[in-house]
Amino acid sequence: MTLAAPDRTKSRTPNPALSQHATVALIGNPNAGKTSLFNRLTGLRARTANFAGTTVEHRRAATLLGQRRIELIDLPGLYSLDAATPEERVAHSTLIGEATGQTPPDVVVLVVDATNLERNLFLTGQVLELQRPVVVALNMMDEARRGKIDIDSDELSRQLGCKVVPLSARTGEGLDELKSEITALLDAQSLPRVDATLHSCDTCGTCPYAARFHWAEGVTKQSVTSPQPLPSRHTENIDRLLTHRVFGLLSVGVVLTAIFLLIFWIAQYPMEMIDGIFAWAGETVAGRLPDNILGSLVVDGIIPGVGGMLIFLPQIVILFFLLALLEDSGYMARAAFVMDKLMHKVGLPGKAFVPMLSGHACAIPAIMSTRVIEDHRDRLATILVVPLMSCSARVPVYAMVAALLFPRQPLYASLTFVGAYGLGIVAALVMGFLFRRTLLPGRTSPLVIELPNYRLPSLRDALLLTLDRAWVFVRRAGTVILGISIVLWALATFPQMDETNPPATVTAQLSELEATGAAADEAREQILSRAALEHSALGRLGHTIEPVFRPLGFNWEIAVGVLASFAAREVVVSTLAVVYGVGEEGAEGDSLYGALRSSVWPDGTPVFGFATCMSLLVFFVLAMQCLPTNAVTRRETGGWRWPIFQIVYMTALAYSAAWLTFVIASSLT
Amino acid sequence: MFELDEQPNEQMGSPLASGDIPSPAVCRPAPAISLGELSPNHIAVVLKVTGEDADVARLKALGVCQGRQVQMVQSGDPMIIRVLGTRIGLAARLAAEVRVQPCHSC
Ligand SMILES: Nc1nc2c(ncn2[C@@H]2O[C@H](COP(=O)(O)OP(=O)(O)O)[C@@H](O)[C@H]2O)c(=O)[nH]1
Ligand SMILES: [Mg+2]
Repeated sequence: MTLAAPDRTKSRTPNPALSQHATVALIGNPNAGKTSLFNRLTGLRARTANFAGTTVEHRRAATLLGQRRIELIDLPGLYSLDAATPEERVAHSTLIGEATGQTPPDVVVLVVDATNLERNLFLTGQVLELQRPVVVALNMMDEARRGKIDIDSDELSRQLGCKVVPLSARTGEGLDELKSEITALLDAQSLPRVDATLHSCDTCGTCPYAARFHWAEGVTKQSVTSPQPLPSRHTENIDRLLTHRVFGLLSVGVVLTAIFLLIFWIAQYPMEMIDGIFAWAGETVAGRLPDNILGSLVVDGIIPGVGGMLIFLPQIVILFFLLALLEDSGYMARAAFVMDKLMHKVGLPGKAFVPMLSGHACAIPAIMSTRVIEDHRDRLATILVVPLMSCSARVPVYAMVAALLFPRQPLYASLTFVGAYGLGIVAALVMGFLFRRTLLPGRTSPLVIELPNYRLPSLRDALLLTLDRAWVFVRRAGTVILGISIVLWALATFPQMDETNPPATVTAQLSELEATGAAADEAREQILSRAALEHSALGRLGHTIEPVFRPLGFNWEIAVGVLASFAAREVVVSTLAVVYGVGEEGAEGDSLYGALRSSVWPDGTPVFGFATCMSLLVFFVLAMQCLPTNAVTRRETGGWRWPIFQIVYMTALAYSAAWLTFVIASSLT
Repeated sequence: MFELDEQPNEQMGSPLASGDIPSPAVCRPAPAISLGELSPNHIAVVLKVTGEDADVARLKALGVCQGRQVQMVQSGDPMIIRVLGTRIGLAARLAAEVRVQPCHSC
């Protein structure tokens, strides 16, 4: 770490916080280029953080400015400071230093889009009036030049009463000037001289907005020689297609299909790799560790638990990355625009569409991406229903049920999948509608959305964002999964069965096995591990709660699977493999399906008949079995109330729907 | 009759232009309508924005407020308008809260 240079101006500006950790905040309209500029100034050192006591997220990074260590903050984008959304409130309170645990930033960098000066000046006026040390970063100068917009930055600086630095976060021009202006402001905190005309407008009546725009118009006229912000021709042309009533919807379909194909197609390779690595790690560690409780905790608890979570990381990372690219290009606003009317029919805004779709890969990034929804109730309703979408963790379960029901009928098997996905979507829309009618009443907020010019997205910025979010996922999901897999392992391990003196039924099975004289080591293992599980707390719990699941057609083995999958639904398959004594390895092969098919009720009818399979499928479509998602809901809603509600309503929904399915399906067969 | 000295007319006379607005001199005042009724490609000056909720505030901060010029890019629900050079997607329900004075022959 570099020590701060001897601060010769300190006597002039008696600000004790200044010499060491001066904070510099970036503020500006959405799409003005704050994040690009932030990344330019900081690079990889940034971290994502929440503002104390809120769910509003921002990025901050410590960086060196000349000799000085500063903390750079990327505030949420906003059109005005009029504290309407949580983002605006936080940005405002951060600027004036009212945010909890924060001093006001020492320098405010106001990022202004040069191609759209007049609109950006509205916020500029508001920020200038706060009387903080401000430097205006006149961004997108490369684009302004191409559009033949000629801005006299000296004149603009005179008009605004503060320094103006023309620059481009894309090409990097002007960055050094910006840095030295920030340094100069840190040395001697001069405040902007606010123009009196900011408040005076004879023709504007009492509307404060009108007065500000009147001022912005005047400033623009003084400093820009070609004040027409030229509409981007190619944006207009592309939009004629992408916002078209029919083609717009078709394009949404095409784009999203492409995204999902990419996710599932590209992700399979890293997923196989991760699977392989964890299998290898399990074996290697098993070989090294003593064959005792501790070894079992690592080999049977922690490694498969964490591996089971990380295996979804590739899909999540790819989804994050593609969403970041689409966001950066400007397409997301079009998708929200096109879907708005349809979404309103179920009481949700168009902006809820992308999160709900992302939910088909994983609910966690989907819930994080609901931040684009301004209205609190709209956002909450979306968060509540997103986990009903069939995420990829459900796929193994669907595959199992499809294989059980339609072993050699690929058409019916794929129809099973279609049905499961359809059920999730319908359930989400219906529940969203119900929540908006009952728990979260009020009108869905009408669409107001800027359709920014299409821009070639920056791979670097998209990658940085992806890394950030992936890290949040690993941290959140990782800690939860780690804890849960330890608990599950403990439940499935204790109390231990005395292997030298197993219960009579097991002894009988074992001697039966020996009588057949088969190469029986493996079979013996399976019988023992099944017995051990039945003996354990988890097994006993399964027996205890079996009556609860009986109406759904589940036996105690399935009940154990349901319990085990409470933390992560895909666990059900491997748990069933253990319960049915085919071993973990059998989970993929036909051996599990064979064991499941041959399992019978005491009266001799098969357990996994049509009715039970259907009810199991419906249960897994609708049940909330994913603690990482709950953790993220808690984080995004700022309390335990909504995640708990989410578990309760989804479990109730899953239970009743599965019961209904079982009753109907039983009567049909 | 073209020399109305009301405020909206005065605003129109100012050479502030958004998008491809031809010379304001050819703009003639017409009866006030709601923004949603503006025909595609036509330009109008905002007279008044009613309503007070957060959505209306957002609309105003984007430039749809008294005295600004707006252009209809694509009508319907939602519609696309242009204001201060920016394209904005807007629900018809909100557009109904905006009174505008169209400039014909623009
Ligand atoms: N041509 C050009 N594009 C830029 C510049 N700065 C940002 N962009 C692009 O503008 C879009 C919005 O930038 P972003 O940093 O996400 O804006 P934010 O919403 O303010 O954080 C992205 O597509 C950027 O790649 C610039 O100086 N020149
Ligand atoms: Mg940003």
